[in-house]
Amino acid sequence: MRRGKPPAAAMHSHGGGGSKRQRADEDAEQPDAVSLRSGTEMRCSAGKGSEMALPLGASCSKKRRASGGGGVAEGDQIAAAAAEEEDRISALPEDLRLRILALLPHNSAIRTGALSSSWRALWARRWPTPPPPSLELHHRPTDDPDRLLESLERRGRRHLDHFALTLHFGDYRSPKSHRYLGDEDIRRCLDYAAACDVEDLHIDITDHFLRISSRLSFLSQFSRLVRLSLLRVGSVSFSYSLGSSAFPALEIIHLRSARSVDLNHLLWASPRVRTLDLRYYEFVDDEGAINVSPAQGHLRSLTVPECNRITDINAQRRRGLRPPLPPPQQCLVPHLHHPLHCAA
Amino acid sequence: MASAGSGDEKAAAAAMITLISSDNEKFEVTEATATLSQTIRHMIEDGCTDGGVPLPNVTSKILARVIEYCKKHATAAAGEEGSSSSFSDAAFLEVDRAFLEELEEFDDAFLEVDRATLFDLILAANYLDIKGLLNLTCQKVADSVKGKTPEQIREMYNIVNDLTPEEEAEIRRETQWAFE
Repeated sequence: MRRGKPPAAAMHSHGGGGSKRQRADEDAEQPDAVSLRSGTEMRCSAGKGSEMALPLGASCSKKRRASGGGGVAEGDQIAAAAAEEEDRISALPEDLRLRILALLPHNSAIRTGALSSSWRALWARRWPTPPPPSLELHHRPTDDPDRLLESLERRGRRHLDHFALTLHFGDYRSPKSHRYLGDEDIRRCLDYAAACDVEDLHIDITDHFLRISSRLSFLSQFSRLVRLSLLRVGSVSFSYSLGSSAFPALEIIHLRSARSVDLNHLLWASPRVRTLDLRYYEFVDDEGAINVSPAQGHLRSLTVPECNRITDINAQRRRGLRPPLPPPQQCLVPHLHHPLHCAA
Repeated sequence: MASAGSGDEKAAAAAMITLISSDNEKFEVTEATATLSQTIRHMIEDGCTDGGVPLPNVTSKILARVIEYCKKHATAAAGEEGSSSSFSDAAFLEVDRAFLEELEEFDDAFLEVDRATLFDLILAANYLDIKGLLNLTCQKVADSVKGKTPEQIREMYNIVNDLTPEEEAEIRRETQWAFE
């Protein structure tokens, strides 16, 4: 019996047990259903239906008839009434059923899924929907990096939509009982994010000491990474052993105030990059150029504001490259080797 | 049953609220008792309780039980406030503990009701937004379901199984470990 009625209606929906009786009850009781309800229930099951008001008495006598006539013992009557008692628990509004399920141990809650269609999979919603799996870590020099790694270990390698690691500047002077965070720790965080199939990865090193000294190396394949932002990072390199599909799903790259990123390799290993956003990007070759030509045809947006050292962007069409790069949006560089731009 | 609440309350200066059940029975209770219900508390705060608070979703029988619960627990709340002022008094704490035990006993006895009443109490506690009563009654239902097989629960609550055998088999297969 399905009962997807709203709370107010739930109090009306008493005539449960069998469909025939339900109809009779509803016909008889419609006018003043709510107000007399629970009194009715009580007295019926106690077997004193005869003294009830007419409509209620009618339904009670029906019950008694079903239980085998008027002459049965009171205990039998109660049993019979219970047998015909309506399904009050399924008639509860959903939020109340969820409240009850939340009070049950896991396996008991799951077993209710086999009760009937209105209980199927209800248990899965008994706790509020968790937010999309996301992890934002903030680390300071006063924090123990081992704690950070332990917390990742504890979480296990469940899927992550979003992973953000921010390394803050802080107190380096007072003595610490723990070591400072180093490149190896950052690498383990990156490996962890890769193992969790992260889709949005955000690294920000606001700690300028760490930024100057750190060397980030991406050694794992990020098979589901779509968006990568690296802020204020030092040197960033990518393992050649990963081949050209280290970032098969990567579409958006933000590099802000990055000191040195192996952009060539990143673009080469990210066949689906659409958007490349470089701000305060410092790393150029001897001629002050950056080379975006390894981007394989999907690149639609290139932004390079505030990149004073970039004087040249090399976006030459490569063989097999599909529609050429559109003119960069905010390009302030004097030289641009760009087929479309040059033609325009 | 009517005009409950005139008895053991400290009637001195206690503002009284009239609650009107769906079958038009009037119950007079102190504000302290009534405000265990968040729904009524908000009504009082909005100043719309003059002439009584109609509760069209609650019968007199259930409302009487709800008020019984609220009176007991309102006294308990008042007792807690009092005890914090004389925290050091060991004898008082002893009294306090005895009172908490008594309250537990009250709750247990309060739940000795037939199933229909239990569900009516849940609906009333939900409508009136009385957290303690809602938790108490829902816990009672949860306890009755705990550790039972679906067949046992269906029988206990007269739940009609409208799943096809295939559907039920599928559900059991998906969550097999919970059925072992």
